[in-house]
Amino acid sequence: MAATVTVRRFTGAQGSSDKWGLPTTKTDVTSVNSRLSSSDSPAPGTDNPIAIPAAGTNYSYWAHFGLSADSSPTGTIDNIRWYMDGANSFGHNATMKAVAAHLYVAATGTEGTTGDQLTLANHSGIFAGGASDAFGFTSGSPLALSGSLSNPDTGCFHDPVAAQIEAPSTATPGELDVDETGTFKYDET
Amino acid sequence: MELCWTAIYKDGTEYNQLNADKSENRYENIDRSQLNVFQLRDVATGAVVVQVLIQERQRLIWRRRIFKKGNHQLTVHLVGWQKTFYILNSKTKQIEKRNMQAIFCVFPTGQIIVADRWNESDQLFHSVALRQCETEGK
Repeated sequence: MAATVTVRRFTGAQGSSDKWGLPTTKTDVTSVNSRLSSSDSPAPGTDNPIAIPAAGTNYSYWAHFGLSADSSPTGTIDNIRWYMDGANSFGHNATMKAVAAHLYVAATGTEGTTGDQLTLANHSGIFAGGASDAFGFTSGSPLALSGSLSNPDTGCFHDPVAAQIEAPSTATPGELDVDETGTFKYDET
Repeated sequence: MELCWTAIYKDGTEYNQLNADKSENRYENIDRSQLNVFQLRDVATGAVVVQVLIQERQRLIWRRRIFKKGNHQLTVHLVGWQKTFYILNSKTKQIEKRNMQAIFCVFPTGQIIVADRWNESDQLFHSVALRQCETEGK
């Protein structure tokens, strides 16, 4: 029947085993909340929160997410898209940006304080339009992710989503009010 | 409800997605030149949930469209056909190519929604990426 597909978070050094340079660490986050922090940990818990700056904006380390086929489809998986629910309910004045990446680039920054901003200058693998409000990607206007997978192949098979939380100086301390959830969508034969 | 497909050819023979030994045939391997009817059936009961008659120049389309939101997964089946035709634009005097569709979206509950065209802003009925076997001339 349908392939077994999981949602993965990619962290660590860039790899060389696929065209996206995905790292060897591909954490299954299908069934868990995946927290973004000021570190590149795939499961940071409450360690390394994003420090609220006195002025300007601090950032989480950017995080990459994508699908992985743990079993092969009978035919092909393609037409991959990603979106949020259209309303930022994080609270605390936190926002999130997202963009498709044609190449994985390991997150950088000052651990415990801020990640580097998700810009083309810092992340050479994102598409030229740059990151935009993640909540602007909705079911009616999703982020299209290039890639496909055909039998008998397995593994990761599309451009990952790079996402980053932003904490401006007006942010208020504490855990974000709501766990926001992204949706991946794809076609399979 | 889990669904599987059956292609029924013009001579009445069937080509099933699922074989008796649980192996699976490829949708891309359906002989479209002989295709008469395409069915989605309830795997558990064998009951036909939706049946599409494929007529001349209509090209079968079928997909599982899968939504993964956290640990929740919804799988719907898109099934229908696309047909290409040509019109003469009276203003430009040019021959223009058009596609028309009839698409059913079948939910696991058995609910069916029908659309008469792709709609890129609709999460159910945005267009598929056509396989080689679904393109014009096949």
